[in-house]
Amino acid sequence: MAFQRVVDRSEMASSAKPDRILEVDHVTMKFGGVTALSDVDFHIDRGEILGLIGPNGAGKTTCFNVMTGVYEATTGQVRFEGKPLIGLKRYQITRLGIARTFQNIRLFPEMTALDNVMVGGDTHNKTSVVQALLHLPIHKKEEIEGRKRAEELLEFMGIADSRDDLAKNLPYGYQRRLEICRALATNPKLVCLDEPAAGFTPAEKIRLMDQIREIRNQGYTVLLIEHDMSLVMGVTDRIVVLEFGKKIAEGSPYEVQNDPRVIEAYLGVDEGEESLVKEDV
Amino acid sequence: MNQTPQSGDNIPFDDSMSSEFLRTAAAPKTVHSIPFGDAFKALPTAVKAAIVAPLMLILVALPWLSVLNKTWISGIPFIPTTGGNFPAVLTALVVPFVLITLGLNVVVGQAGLLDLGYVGFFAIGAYTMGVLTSQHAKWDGILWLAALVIAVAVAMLAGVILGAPTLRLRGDYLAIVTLGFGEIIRIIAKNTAWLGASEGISNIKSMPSFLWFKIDVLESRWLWVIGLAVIGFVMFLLRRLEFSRVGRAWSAIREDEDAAELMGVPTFSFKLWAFAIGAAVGGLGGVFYTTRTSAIYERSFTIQQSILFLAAVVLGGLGNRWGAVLGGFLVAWGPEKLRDIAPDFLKEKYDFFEKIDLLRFFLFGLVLLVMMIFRPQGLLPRKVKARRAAGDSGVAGENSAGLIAAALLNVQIGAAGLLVPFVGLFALIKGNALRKQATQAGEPEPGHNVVARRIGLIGLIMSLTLAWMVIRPRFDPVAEGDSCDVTEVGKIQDDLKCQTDEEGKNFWSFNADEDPGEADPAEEDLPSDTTATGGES
Repeated sequence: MAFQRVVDRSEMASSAKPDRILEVDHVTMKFGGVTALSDVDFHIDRGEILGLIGPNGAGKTTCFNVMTGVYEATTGQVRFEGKPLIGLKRYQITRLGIARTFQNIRLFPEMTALDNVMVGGDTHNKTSVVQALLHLPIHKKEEIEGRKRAEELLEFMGIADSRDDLAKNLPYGYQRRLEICRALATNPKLVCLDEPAAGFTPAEKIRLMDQIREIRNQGYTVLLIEHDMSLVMGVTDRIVVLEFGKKIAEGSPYEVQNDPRVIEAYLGVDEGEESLVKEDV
Repeated sequence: MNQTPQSGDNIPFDDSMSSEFLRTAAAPKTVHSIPFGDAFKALPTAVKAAIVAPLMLILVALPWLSVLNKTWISGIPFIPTTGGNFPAVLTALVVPFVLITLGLNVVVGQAGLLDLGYVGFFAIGAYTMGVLTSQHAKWDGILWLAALVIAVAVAMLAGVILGAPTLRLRGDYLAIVTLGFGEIIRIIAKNTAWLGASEGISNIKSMPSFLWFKIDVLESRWLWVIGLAVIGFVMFLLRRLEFSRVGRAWSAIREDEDAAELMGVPTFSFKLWAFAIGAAVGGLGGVFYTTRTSAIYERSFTIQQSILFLAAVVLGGLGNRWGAVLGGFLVAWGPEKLRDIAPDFLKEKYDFFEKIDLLRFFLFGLVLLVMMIFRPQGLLPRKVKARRAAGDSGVAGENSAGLIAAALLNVQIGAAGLLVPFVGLFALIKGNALRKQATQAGEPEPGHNVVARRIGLIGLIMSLTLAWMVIRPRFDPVAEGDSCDVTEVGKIQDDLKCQTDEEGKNFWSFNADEDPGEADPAEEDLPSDTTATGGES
């Protein structure tokens, strides 16, 4: 498949790859007096699709932001392939191999779809200002390869017909897909999708599920934040459930679905039952 | 736009959402403006060359052509300024302004960093050049070139030094800090005896003459040609940057700095590059300013100048190189042009118009204001890539619109007037073909195509009429009894002379008897120009 993850030589050489691609190690995140995450602890295995779910305000996106370097954890740490992500700039984290999409779409509105994707593709490019000025071979090579890859990604997400349209003019569904393209263009080891199906029709959701599976099959590891239960249950291998900044469950979709605490968090329980559940803990 | 998604919940496809979808899906069609550049690129090479070559020639020859003000076929009725010395306006104002707007466009237009102290870099380039090439330093000849390189390097360094601490700020804060920086540079210059304090630096040497380019303080025409070449070269380099990883990174930073960084763009270093490159080009503007004016004072580098530069970039169109050039030209040339905006007959009648040149900056401001109301995105907005799918009728329509624009440009500039009928005809044929195509497809004719066809027709008629006006008197015997007073046509045709033959009949003739071998209109027009003026008064 054309959009397969590119594995370079240095990556091949280090054959002793840890199975756990990302470890969230007892992370607590406080904003002033508000504790958004408290002692959250889970990991993502290489090559899996992990779902991160929870009701509104459970801390999913905060968790996401800690992982991608937007915030620095108050205590605890996030390790990517065994190395802590402390003191790294955001773009360095992206270069290491974590890419993300945004819950509220943040494309580059005045740039074409193709250019949006190519910005992502530039992550690993080395062309300097001087090399671009002189049109040295490295510039030409990277331009041609970057363009080709970007077009393949647009093709894969089914939005190739809009490659020359400005991102701000794309239909909503296209914008969401373009975000995924842009994230994949950075050739990440772990791609984090923040509510990619928000606002999608049921038919679009089914298509997206297929595409997420396909992304995994091409060698990417996927972290999926999603509200929509049918999507999460249908596509993920494992699920972590957050509520009020705490991890309340972890396991296969089946296990999570039948976990009383999850049911409580999502559906609510009446007074009597609530105490019962608490004793259970 | 559509930045707030339906947060999560499994909402079925309801009506409100579908209207949302429709709205965004329909957006591209309405937003699409006519991309003149793309339409132009689609033309056959020969047509392109035929349009560009005369324009380039006129551009290069501008300071020489200004003498031929009175003749419409070879002269340019509109561009030269009569109030001042036109070549001086070109070299002392237009070249520095265009370079500055090009540089500022990188910083503000492409990377989206609002820099209000850009005049500082202009001043640094100018002062460095002034110090190195003033009489005291006695740098001359090839050293002038070395001074240029040093001045640009110093300006670039200043960009890095200013940028490193301040580029951590964003938006308004960056604007305020840079505003302060611009003022600091000026105040340093004002208070440093070595830089001439408030007296400034005078006796700065002009660019040395070389090869057949004779340049000194009084003769600056060749400096215009060199300035044009430098502008062209800078544009070429900036174009290369724009369509590379660097330009994409700048755009991404401008659009959404956080998202850009999370997509792997090292934002700080690219912002610093934008600052450094902008500063270098601004410094180059300073070099040309200094070399032409031969004296610089700190008063030339005030914050007001900085704001004017920014106005020029915004007027031309943020983020477009050609827009920056146009904006720079207009802001440098406009106030000079407005000196003689009032026609003579009004001046004779009303005293007010005698003094109108005192109001020229007010008038210019008014023009800018009106422009911004009706075209807030600037005269030449940032390029929008058009779809180039085969059979896309939109592009074909824009194609003829582009031709029309070219035709109008040619009419405006006058000398290439001969092209207009052909371009008009072409546009007319193309426009008709397009209309047919649209009717067959059952679609309404695109609005711009209607405009294109009509303007094409008007251009065709106008140019043919003009051509007839020029040609007719050459075959027309002057009626008996008519005096040889200069007629409307005769005035603009300086090489046409009214003569009387042996029988006492008047007729039009060219001054063939005077100098049959002379074909160069420029040579002919010089002396006759003075006689024509004499005849009028």
